[in-house]
Amino acid sequence: MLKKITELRSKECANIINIEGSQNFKEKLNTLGIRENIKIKKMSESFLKGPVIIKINLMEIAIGWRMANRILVQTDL
Amino acid sequence: MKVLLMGNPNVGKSVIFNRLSGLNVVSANYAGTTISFSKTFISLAGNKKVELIDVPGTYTLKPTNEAEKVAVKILEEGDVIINIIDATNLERNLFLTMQLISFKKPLVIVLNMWDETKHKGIEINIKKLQQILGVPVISTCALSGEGIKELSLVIKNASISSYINKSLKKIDNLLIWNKIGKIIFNTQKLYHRHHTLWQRISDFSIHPIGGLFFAFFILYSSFRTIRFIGEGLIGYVFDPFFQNILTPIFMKLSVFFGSGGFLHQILIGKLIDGEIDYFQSFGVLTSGFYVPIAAVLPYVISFYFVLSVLEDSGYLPRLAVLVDSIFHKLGLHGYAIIPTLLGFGCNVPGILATRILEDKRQRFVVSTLISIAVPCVALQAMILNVLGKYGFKYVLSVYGVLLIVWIGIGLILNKFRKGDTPELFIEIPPYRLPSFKILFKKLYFRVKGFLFEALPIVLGGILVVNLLYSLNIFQYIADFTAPVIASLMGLPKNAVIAIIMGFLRKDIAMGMLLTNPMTLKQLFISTIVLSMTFPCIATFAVLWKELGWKKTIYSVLIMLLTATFVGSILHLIL
Repeated sequence: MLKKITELRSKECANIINIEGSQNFKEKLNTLGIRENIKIKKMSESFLKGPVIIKINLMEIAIGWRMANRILVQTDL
Repeated sequence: MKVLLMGNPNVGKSVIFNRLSGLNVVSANYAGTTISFSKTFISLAGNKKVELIDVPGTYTLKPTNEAEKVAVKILEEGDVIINIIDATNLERNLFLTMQLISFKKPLVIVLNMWDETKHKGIEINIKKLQQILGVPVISTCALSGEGIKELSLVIKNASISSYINKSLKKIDNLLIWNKIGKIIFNTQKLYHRHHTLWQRISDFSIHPIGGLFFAFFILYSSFRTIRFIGEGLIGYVFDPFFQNILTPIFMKLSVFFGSGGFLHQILIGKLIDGEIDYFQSFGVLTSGFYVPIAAVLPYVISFYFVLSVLEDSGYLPRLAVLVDSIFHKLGLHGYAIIPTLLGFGCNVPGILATRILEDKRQRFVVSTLISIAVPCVALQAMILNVLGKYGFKYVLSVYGVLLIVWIGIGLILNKFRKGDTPELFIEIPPYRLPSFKILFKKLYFRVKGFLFEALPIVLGGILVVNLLYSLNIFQYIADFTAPVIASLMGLPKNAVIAIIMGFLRKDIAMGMLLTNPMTLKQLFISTIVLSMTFPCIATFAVLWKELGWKKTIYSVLIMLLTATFVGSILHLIL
């Protein structure tokens, strides 16, 4: 099922399908290894539209809510 | 020959720099600790002298911000690159490595934090990695010093990799990731590890509700620890030293000077009921030494001890995540909490640390907020010493008022902003147990820095103050500002002298306030006004350097306006 990262539940794993935004935005995410076709795990529910924390391999990254809202993922199911 | 230490943020470049050079640049467990370059000359094997440069961390060489542009410029001047990699994040770190390779400079790769790979179930085949990339690869654990000797020996073997033969402009990210994918497949194996205790604490401390409790617990216990160590040092070490050993000597000196006169005034100061009062006498030898050493230094030690533990543990980025949504209301993002916390030690490193925020508007807002509403440790120590005597609630009230001011100015400045606040986008480092050796070394250098910078200014300042008193210059200034100070804020007009002296140092200024007879209300208001007005000269200089003169003037105007406003309001309602 296609979802935004912000819609994932805590501890849910998913694959990044599409990143919506400018080339610059994609480039910025890419520097921390966030790109299409990689697996992520959401580490924590965000609070008051605060940052979302995801895990890629062994690295945890905090992403501002509005940024996270532009990353589409596919859950394993 | 120039040797550059390059790598992603928070991979341990500064710790390796310190290890190789024996110097001490500040390191901590969060991205962006190093905000400017450190350079030094070191001798390699065979006594060859090279220049070693610690380059601020960067994720990419396709510059997306100022820091990265600078990194690329420095890279072009470098002769040998030591690429430091966090071994627990090989894949992501290799992205920069691939870009570095495309620059065709001699390269050495260092897999740092090697010890952590074992706990995390990561196995990396160094030999194979070396074969694939065609450059020397070694493993280190900079915190313990493992592998550093080897590194200094291997620098001369640095070689140019031919793994990527295109220039950076011609390669796209997908190609790089494909290449990295192949390397990882051939060199790295991951084994499943159960959740460690640290991982559980980590999960808890970023949980929206659990994290809030955790933050309160951490901040409250930090504050308690700072007070406990600070008060302990004062009560059991420094104050007894002054009272039992120095006071008798000063009293003999006082008698020698005939208990009065010009020299007595300057060196010993005014006797209060025939005794030396270290806060009020205001002589160069008495208050001049007591204030920085017995009243402030203990808190400098305790504050920086606690701050260093927080920095090295990796908690600060998590705190940044937690406060992010609140900070957004002020047009800031959560990372602004780090310069702010550093500002509680000294405003200067606090304002310098605003460089980790990416846009100029945020830097201006945070710098202004720090210089107005964040009291440095020296001032806080004096507030604790002076107002604490009347009851801790008065100390808390000062913090309360400053917090309201901080929020108020933030909200107002946010009204005038243009554009969006950039979103938080940071790496959360794993928790680490601080290395006590590094912790105490860092503490030692920070404390030494305080003594060397503060003591001469305090002594000189008190000398100048005493001279100016005898020349009656202060009287003129006091009369001139009397309408604001006396009428609006209800303070004795001489309080302005202390407030102006705050420009020199806030701790002497606080001591000077005491030389005026004041009611508790007046002392409270003048403490707040003193905290808010003129940053000390060092802070002023760094504001000027970082923001430029226009914004500095703007910032000072905001400061004067709010200080007058808050002082007057408090006078009305208290």
